[in-house]
Order: sequence, then C-alpha cells, then structure tokens
Amino acid sequence: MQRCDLLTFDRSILLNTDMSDDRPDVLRGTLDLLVLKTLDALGPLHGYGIARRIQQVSGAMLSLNQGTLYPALLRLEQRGWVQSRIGTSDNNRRARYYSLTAAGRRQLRRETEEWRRASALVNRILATDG
Amino acid sequence: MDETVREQLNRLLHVGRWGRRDVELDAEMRFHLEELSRDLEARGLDPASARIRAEREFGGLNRTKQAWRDQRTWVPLEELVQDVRYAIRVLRRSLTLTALAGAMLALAIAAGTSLFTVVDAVLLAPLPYPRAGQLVVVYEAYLTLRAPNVSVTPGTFLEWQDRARGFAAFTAIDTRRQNLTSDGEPEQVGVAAVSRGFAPTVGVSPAIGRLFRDDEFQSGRAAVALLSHALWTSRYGRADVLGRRLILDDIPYTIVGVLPPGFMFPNPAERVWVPLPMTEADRENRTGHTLFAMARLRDGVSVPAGARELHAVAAALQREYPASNKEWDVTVQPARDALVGKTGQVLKALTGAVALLLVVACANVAGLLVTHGVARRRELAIRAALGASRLRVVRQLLTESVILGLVGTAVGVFLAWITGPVLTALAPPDLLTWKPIRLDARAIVFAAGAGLAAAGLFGTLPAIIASRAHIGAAASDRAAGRGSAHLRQWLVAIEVALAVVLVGGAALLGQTLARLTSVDLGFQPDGVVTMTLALPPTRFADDTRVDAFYRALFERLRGLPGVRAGAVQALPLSGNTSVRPYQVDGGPSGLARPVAHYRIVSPGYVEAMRIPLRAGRTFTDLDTADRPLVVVVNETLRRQAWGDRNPVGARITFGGAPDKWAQVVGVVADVRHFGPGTAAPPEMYWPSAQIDAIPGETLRRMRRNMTLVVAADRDPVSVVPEVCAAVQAIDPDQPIATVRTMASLVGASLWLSRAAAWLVAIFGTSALAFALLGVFGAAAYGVTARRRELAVRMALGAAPQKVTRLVLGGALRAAIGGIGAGLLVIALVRHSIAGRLVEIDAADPPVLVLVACVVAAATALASWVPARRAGRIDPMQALRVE
Repeated sequence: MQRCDLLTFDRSILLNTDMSDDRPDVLRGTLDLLVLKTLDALGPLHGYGIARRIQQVSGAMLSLNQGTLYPALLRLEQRGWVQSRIGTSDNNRRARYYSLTAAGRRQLRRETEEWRRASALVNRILATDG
Repeated sequence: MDETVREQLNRLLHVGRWGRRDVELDAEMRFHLEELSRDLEARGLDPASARIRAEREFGGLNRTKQAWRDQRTWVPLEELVQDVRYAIRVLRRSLTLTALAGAMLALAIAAGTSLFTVVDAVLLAPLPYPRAGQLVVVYEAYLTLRAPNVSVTPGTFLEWQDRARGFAAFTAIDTRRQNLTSDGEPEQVGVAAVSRGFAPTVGVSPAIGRLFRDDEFQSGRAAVALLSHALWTSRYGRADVLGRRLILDDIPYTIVGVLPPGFMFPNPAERVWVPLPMTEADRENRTGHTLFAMARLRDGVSVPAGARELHAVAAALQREYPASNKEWDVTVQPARDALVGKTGQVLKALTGAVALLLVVACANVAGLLVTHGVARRRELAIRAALGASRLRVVRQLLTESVILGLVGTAVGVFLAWITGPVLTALAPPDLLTWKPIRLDARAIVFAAGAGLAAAGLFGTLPAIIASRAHIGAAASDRAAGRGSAHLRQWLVAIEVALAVVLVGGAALLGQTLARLTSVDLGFQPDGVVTMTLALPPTRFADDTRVDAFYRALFERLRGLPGVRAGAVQALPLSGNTSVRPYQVDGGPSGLARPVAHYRIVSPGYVEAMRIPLRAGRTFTDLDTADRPLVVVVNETLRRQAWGDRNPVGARITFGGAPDKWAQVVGVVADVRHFGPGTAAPPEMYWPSAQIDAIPGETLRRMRRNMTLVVAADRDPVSVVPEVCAAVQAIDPDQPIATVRTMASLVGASLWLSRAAAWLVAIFGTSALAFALLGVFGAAAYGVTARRRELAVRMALGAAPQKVTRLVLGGALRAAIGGIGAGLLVIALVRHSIAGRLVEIDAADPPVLVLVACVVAAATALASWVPARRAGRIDPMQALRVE
C-alpha cells in the first residue's frame, strides 16, 4: 500500500512536490491560513468554492493541487476549527459546506498575527542584507 | 482541549469505521471536478479538454482519496483492525479448528489461572512486613539427629544477637496458649512473647497505640500487651482499648497497641503479643530449646551472607561451649520459605506441570494451524499476488493466532472463575496465604499474558511456514504437504513426550499417595477427638494441683459411656516434638548419651490412641510421683538401645536427667509422629505424674499445656460438649481450644500429597488427551498428504494391510520416540524433584513401564483409524483426482 508523502505534518514541508508545472508552491501552514481566511471572509463554502476563491485572490501567482484541500479541510475539522454540513449549491446540487467555528476564528487571529510577525521579521532581515 | 490532541482523538475514534463521510468524499470530489470543468467550459474550453484540465488541476483523485483516508484515521491501526476482522472471519469459517484449538487452550489456561490464584496468594503476595526479603527464620540444627529445624536456646540466641554483625535485629519468640478471661467469655488465645528486637525485626507500625518500649523488656516491669487486629475486632468490637486491662492466665496486662490488619507473627494462631524479658540467667541456658527466632538482615546483606556469618558463630560456640553446643549448627531460612514450607515447593512443581500442559496444548494447536495453513495456500497466494508483502501475510496469520489465544484465554478465565469456589473449598483451612485465593485482576492479567505467550508459541512457526514460497504455491502443493506432515510428526513427538512426563509423574505421585494412605500410623485415628488445655501457671503453680486437675478430669471422662481419654504433650502429626538424651545400663554416658523423642502422657493415652502394646504394660493411675519411676519405649528405641533383647525390666535414665534411673515397663508399637511419609523416631513415654520428679520450667509448662485425646465409640465430635462440661465442672474459668479430630489431622498430613497427585493426574490426563488428538490429527493428515503415493503403491500391488502398516509405523515412530524421550526426562529429573516434593518411592520401574505401555497402546489406537482408512484408498479413484 502506498503512502502519500504530501501529508507529512511538518508545516515547513512544501506541497506540490511532484507536479511537473512550475507554479509557485504553497506553504503548508499557509494553506490552513488561506482556508480559514477564505471561510472568514465569505462564510460557508463548499470545497470547490474555497479553491476557486483562493485562486481568484492570488491570481495566477499561486496555484494549488486542489485535491490537497480535502485532507486539509478534514484536519481543520478534526481540530475543531471548521465544521461542515450538507447543503445545496447555487445550481441546486447537494454539496458539503464548510464554515468557521468560534475556535477557528480565534485560530485565524492567532495565525494572522504570527504570519505578520514572521513576514515582518523576514522583511527586516532582507532589508538589512540589501 | 488542545487541538492536536483533539485531532488525534478524532482519528482514533474513526479507526475501523467506514462511515457515511467516507462514502460522501467521492461525491464531494466528483462535485468539485464537475464544477471546475463547468467553469472551464464557460471560459471557452471544449468539454473534453475541460475535463482533462480539471483533473490536472485537482491533482489525482486516488491520491487525494488516499491522503484523505490517511488523515481520517491512523493507518497502521486501521490495518490492524482489518487484520482482526479478517482473522475473525477466517476463524468463524473454520469452526472445528477454532473450537478444538480454543478448547485446548482454554483448558490449559484455566488450569494455569486457577493455580496462579493459589501461587499468587501463597508465594507472590507480600508478607505483612515491610522489606520482608530481609527477614529470616533461624533454627538450631542438631547434627546428631540430622534435625535442621530445632527450637533455639536462650543462651545461644543471645550469643547470635551479640556476635552477628550482618543483622539489624533479632527477636526471640516464645509462643504459648493462654486463657484470656477479661472482657467476655474465657477464651484460649495464642500468645507470643517476643524479645527486645521485635519492633525493628517486623518493621511495622501499629494500627493504634504503640509497640513495646525498651524498658518494658526488663523483667518485673508492669506487663503490657499488643492485640491483633482480628482479636481487637472480634472481642472488643474495635472499642478504645488503649490502657485497658487484659487478663492472661490470671495475670493482668495493660493494652498499649493494636497491630495492623493482616499482621501475623510468627503464626496466624498468635493474637496477643507480650514482652519476653531475657536475663543473665537466660544467657547461661544453652540446653533448653524453647524459642523460635527471627531476624532482619542489614541493608545490602544477602541471606547466604547472613547464613555464613551465623554458621561461623555456631562454629565458635561449638568450641567455646562443647558441653552444650557440640553438634549444634544453625539453619537460616528466608521468612517466606519457613512460613510456607513444603507447600511452596509443591506449588512450584505444579506450576511446572501446568506449563508443560500449556506447551502440549500449544504444540497441538501449532500442528492444527500448520495443516490449516497448507489448506489455505491458494488464498495466501492470491493475497501475495495482489501485492501483500510476506511480512503482511505473517502479520495476518499471527493476528489469527493472537485472536485464537485471546478466545482461549477468555474461555479459560471463565472456566477458572466457575471452578474457583471448588478450588478454595479443596484448600485446607490452615493454608497460609497473604491474600484471599480468588480470580482478581492480577490473575486475569496473568491469564492474558499466558494466552499471548501461547499464541506466540503456537502461531509463529505455522505463520512462517505458510507464508513461505507463497507464489506458485499451487505447483508445490504436494511437497509442502509432505514437509508439514513431517513437522506435525515432530510436534506429535514433543506432545507425547511431555504427556508421558506428566502422566508418569502423576503415576509416581499416585503410587506414593496409595502407599502413604495404607501405611500403618501406629495408632487408630477413627473416633478420636483432640483438644488443647492451657492451665494457667498462676493457679497451677505446683505440680500436685496440676496432677489433681487431670485426675479429676479423667475420672469424670471415664464415667462417660464408651469413652477412653488421655493426654499427651506432643500429639502425633501436630508437628511438635521434644527431644532429650537418655542412657541405658552399659550404654554411653555423659556427652555421648544418645537422644530420643519423649512423650509425657497420662494413663489412658496409649489406650485412647489404640497404640498396640508389644510387651509389658502401659501406665496406670498407680504410677505416681512417690512410686518408682517407670518408662515405656517404642520399638525403634528398643532396637536402638537394646537390640533384640526384651527391655522390660531394664533400666533407663528418666526425664533427660543423667542420674534419675527408671525401669522400662513396656514396649509399644512405633507411631509415625511426623506423618505417614516419615519413619517413626525413637520414643520414650514418661508418665505425667512422675515428671514432677524432674525440675525445670520446660517440663512444668508441658505439664500444664497438654492435648486431651478422647476416643469414643460414636461420633467423636459429639463428645466435645461433655468434655467441656467436665472441664468446667472442675474449673469454670478453664476453656478448651483447638478441637480437631485425629482423622482430620491424618487428612491434613496427606493433603499436600493428595492435592499434588490429583492435580498432576488431571494435568497429565488432559495432556495425554491433547497428545492423542495430535497423534490422530497428524496421522490423518499424513494419509491425506500421501494419498497419491499410497495409491501408487497399491496400484503397483501393495496389499491394503501393508499400506495400513506403513502409515501406522510412521505414526508410531513419532509416538515411540516421544515416549522414550518422556521416560528419559522422568529418569533425569525425578531425583531432583522427588526429594523436594512429597516423598516419592525411589525406584518404580513397573509403574513407569505401565505408563509407557498405556500411552503406546493409546497412540496406536489413535493412529489406527486413519491408518485403516489409508488401506481402503481406491487407487484408481485417488489417481484420477490428480
């Protein structure tokens, strides 16, 4: 039975390792943050909606293997940051809708804060180096 | 809750549950792809390329599903659950195999678990003392009589205490039965007088109050006492007793403490402890062997090291005090060994027997599984072809074994639970245990451990064999069949060998038991009841009063119809004895005097016990203190002292004194004082009334603490109230205690031999049954595996009888090998086990030959059925099948 290497839980591991195209990779921790942010901004969404939104916002800059969204969503759900239920899509089809929980909202705030701190730090280092 | 913990918990809860969510993932992904391609189509792509593009952007459906599953649960655990499910299906499909294997394991595990409950209570449960491994019991060893466990003299005890550096504390113990008359009905209680080292030796803290203070061990101080928790509960209802008066044999004591529940020292009978003062006069007493001694080793000192030191002290004492200590050494025993005694050794031997039974069951199950594995080769080959690694297949098969083992364990524990009450009912009431014998969590853990160990034992080999060369298995089917038939023969040989060991052991034990049961004890236990009397020294200080009491008592008892009564200071089978030197005319004198055991008896004792009189007469009421001293000897002493001559009328010293001469008036038969398995010691009987001629507190005390022996021509227990009434009529404050029939003492003396023989017989029978099943199974399987070969032989002209004989011969070769190996093992281990176990007759070839013949006949019978079937093979049909 094969194991999928893409799901090692270290946050620094890059996703998208065996894709042949040359779009930028998505940092693992970043995917969680993006999903949480998307759900915070748009309210309940199905998996495809989330993927589409992330792609829209990032433009062509960022692409992800959309399939990787589902294990990530499951993990967020198992951690209690996201909940899901079956709903009906715009074109009247059954679909699973994900929404943020209170804990998810807190987590989003925490991660946003962390991200800002980290990127500020990196920026400072890059500035002094230049 | 921490989110990662929550995540893992979520995954754990999902192990083995293929829920709606998992099914819906497909729909979810399909929805995603369709929406994606719809959007792409809207941007102008044709449906086909939109679909392809969508799938590429999605990144692989199966990989996503796999990743999702991995996130959903823990994969190794998930696989384990799959293995378990599959294993249960397999085991349910081959129900006969499962039932047979499970039943054998269950029987062996039930036996093991039941035995464990006893072993745990007797050998493993902690003694009621902290760091009990440091506690030893020290005896004096009398080299002349080869008696290793003799009570200790005060003088020698004090020398040990002064000289042995490796010990933290010693305590001397003087146990006695005394009458407790305060706060309620008069009651006889066991009292232990303990010397100064009591507290540091036992190392316990009292439940209430305190232990003894050092100044309380000086003689002449106000007497203090400690109570056992049980006595405090039963007699005082756990009231506040500190400072209350306790009257033992008319002497008042002040209660200063209560010991914790379960505390026992040195025997369960002792329920009151008082200080034992040791004086300078005691230091000079190196001949009165009256004390029991326990000691605590210093930290870091081992039992052998402590023993070596005490042996050195004993050697020094032999040189310094040859008059008293020549021929005296020491015996040092760990406290548990001393307390548990032979029971412990028998339990260890029985544990070995159960282990053998379990191994036989495992060998048998392994044989079944090997065969089963051969039948499953096709299935395993398919699994391998589908990508299962060899390790995965082995794991799958081992899982089946473990489940089989656990099923066996569960049923076994249930059986042990059902039979538990029977077991406890069979245990003798005086079996020393440090916790109740029952099926508790420890026993269940033990059973599970045994079950898993068994699964490992019977599961590994078949799993490896079955997983070997699984690709192309169908082609090598026949060779594999032959190979595993060979393996089964080996397993059968092992089973038969172990079964022979157990059955042979049971036969030896049974034969010994039969001999012990039929041995002439030298007295007639039927219709005899015994009870103890403890006359308090305060009221019975002088011998004439003791004498008067007994005279009055026996007068009353003889007035009862059909009753004979007497008294003795050391009852046969009680484990107690006393020894003193004697001299006869022309015999060695002084230090060279030989020793014999003595019995202080009242007139009527020999008659009540119906000990046959061989010559002369027994004692009468006329053998009083003021008449010439008389002695009765047993036959062993007669042979030892006088050879073949008739000793009646000869002279012998009396009471251990060097100068008091008495006349031998009679010879009685030997009494097996130490039980049916031990030869009678040389014994001299002294009339109780004449003991008054010999000074010494030891003899006075024996006089006051006699055991009444009452024989009746009806149920002896029905006489007890009349005896009580007779005692009370003479002295209303005088209780009697320890009422036991002589028959129950005889039963108790045989209990260990009986239990060992029966249990080993049960284990042996089970093992033999398992082994026969194995013989049958192996032979039957051998015929199936060799079907083609046998058919060819017959087609070429071999007679059916010849084929039958061929198969029979193969099966019997394994069995005979096993029988031989088993007999060899018995021959090798018999002497090492026999001495420690119950007395086994040294050479018993006939019974072992019988065992060998029976086992051989049984195995022949078990393999005859399949062998005959081999002779009936229709060659044409058999060959056409291939």
